[in-house]
Amino acid sequence: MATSAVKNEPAAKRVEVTIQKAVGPGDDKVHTWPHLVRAEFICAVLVMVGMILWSLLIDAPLEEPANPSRTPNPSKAPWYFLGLQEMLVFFDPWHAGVVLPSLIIVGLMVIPYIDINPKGNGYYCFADRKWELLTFIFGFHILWVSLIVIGTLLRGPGWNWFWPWQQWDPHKVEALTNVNLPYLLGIRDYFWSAVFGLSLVITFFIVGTVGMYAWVIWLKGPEFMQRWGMTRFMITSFLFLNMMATLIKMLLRHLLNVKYVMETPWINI
Amino acid sequence: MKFYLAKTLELVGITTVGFGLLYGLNHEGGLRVELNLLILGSAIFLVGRFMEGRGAA
Repeated sequence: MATSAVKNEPAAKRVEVTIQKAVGPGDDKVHTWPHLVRAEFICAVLVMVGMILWSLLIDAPLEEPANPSRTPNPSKAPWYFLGLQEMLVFFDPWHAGVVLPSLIIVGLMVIPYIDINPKGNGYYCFADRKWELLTFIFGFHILWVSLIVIGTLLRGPGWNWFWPWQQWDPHKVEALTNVNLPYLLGIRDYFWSAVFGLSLVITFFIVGTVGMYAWVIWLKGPEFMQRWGMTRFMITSFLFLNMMATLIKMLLRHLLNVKYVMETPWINI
Repeated sequence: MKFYLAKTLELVGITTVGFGLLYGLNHEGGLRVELNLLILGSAIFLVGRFMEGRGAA
């Protein structure tokens, strides 16, 4: 009925109905299209114009074709992979290249399942999501961005550390004597070194989990822990402790030249 | 020279599209003008795009 009425109506009488817009504090919901999508599209257009101008004014820093008999030193990955390449300084390739990236991806995937804080939906607020934001900032800026910055700007020939004001000297040889933590603590036997290292890793995770449990109870109360659930807590605690362990291992390598905490014929951590 | 002319046309086209969107954002009921600008911008961009060609570099 309504359709036929519109059809019969003369074109001049048609009134353009404007799309609903927020007009007051209580009326806080508007359509995504066009209010949000249009603004996003404008941003995309601005970025595109900037990129076109940039590409016209500056040539891409491409080097000559690769020569297998003369590999560059340092051989650097693209900048976005330099964080991973930098991790190879501290960990075995299986850990730096497989385990840690997998944990990052899995960790990001489980965020919606382990996060039961309903606050912060649709608005930005630090106070309501302090711990969530701080954990993310730590993971992103310390464990990801800072490694990319170090790999890009501070690593030179031989993957040695060069400050920006130092010249890249390809003949520089770092006189570093990296030792395993059990060796540093006086354990010389191979078997007992492995046992000590394994015990240390397991103890770290047990003590860390218990400590985090006590901390959450102290900070939020037992009622929160009940709502959160043991499965969510254990997943969160495992991921958080892995983040901390990565940082601790990196600091041990930088400050004490510790190569591995645990060394076995198969796996080194 | 043709390449830069083509790129300029593309830039003008994209900017026109952006301006059209901005117009729509700030004018209630300005859908007709917005749509005209979007079509005009797309057309200018496409002229530049065809002029530029591909694979000549």
